[in-house]
Amino acid sequence: MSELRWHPILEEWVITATHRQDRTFLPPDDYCPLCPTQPGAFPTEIPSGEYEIVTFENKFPSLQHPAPQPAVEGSDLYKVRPADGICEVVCYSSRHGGTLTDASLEEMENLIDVWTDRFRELGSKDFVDYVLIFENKGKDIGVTLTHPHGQIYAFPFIPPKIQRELDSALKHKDRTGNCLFCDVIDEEQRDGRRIIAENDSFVAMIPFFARYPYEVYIFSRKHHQTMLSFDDSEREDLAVILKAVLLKYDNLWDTSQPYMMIMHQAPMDGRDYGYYHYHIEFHPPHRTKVKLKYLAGCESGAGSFINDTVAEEKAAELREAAPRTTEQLRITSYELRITE
Amino acid sequence: MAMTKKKIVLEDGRYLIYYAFESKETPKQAGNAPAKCCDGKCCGGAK
Repeated sequence: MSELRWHPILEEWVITATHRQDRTFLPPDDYCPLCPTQPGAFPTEIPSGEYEIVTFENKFPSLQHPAPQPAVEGSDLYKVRPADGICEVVCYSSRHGGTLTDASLEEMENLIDVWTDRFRELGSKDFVDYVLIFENKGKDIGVTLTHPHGQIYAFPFIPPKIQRELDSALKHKDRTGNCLFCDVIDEEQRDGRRIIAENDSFVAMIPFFARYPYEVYIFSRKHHQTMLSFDDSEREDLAVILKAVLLKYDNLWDTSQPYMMIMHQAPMDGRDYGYYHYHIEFHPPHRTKVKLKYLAGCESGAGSFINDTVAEEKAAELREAAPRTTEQLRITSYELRITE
Repeated sequence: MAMTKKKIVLEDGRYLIYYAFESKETPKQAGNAPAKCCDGKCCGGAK
């Protein structure tokens, strides 16, 4: 059963996808479905041998095209519609071990090219309004496969958090004439205490308003709405700052840091979102090396976050974690990884 | 750096796309392994 059910109280769509209950859950390394199929061995999701980057339709999708008709009948209050869309898996490498942090800068640039290509292609489909590129990393986040991979959801609607950002940005633009996100970047640069890494094209920070202790945002310096307008040097700079942030996370406690990485871009529904601004958000669940920040009653029940830390202190910790400069990263990207 | 892609359809009708990238050291085609191992960047030193 797969459909969209309208939540009339929160005014948002809930995706019902009961078939996902049966998806593969933490298989042994020898039976990883994201490794290339080996001669004589069990068939994985990827039929041919070694690959660089592969993307494919998720076997257990939350959204699919064409979508089946809803199994339940809706009403004026309880609207239902088909869960039309596309869910893709992006395998970063045929190497089973390791994480995105282990990618070379060249591999990272390649991945950025693939993300751009998928964003363009999926966003051009008439049943798609929004393309979300994201990665859930680590068992603490609930990943079911450890092979390094991310996901892409092509939604038939604008997800509520993105819509809220769009509404805030438009309100700010109407009130001040400025881009909300550009103003955030300016304010953070003036203060400086919450910046953790920067280069010519991007700036990474734990912003003033962080809800998680180590919640990092990467903003493009130029007012881009999506990655489609990045030039070559910006794609290269994105690879560098992504690698720097990932290394800092892992080097912070000499561990492979779990996180949710979410790319926020303008919708692809054909409207003008010139007031929006490209950024990447990281939501790591840890508040210390051994303690998790749970989204408990106040956060899940009321939508109000309690951050047990202050962004200025946590940003200083990440800023001090290697690499301390993105220039340093270019010279010694392999040596800087001090875990495992 | 040139990117090539090869789209195939799996037995159950889903699509899969191989992406390959031509670098100075290891020219490749989508869906194929590097002809020769490079300096460890392509295979993490496994080969």
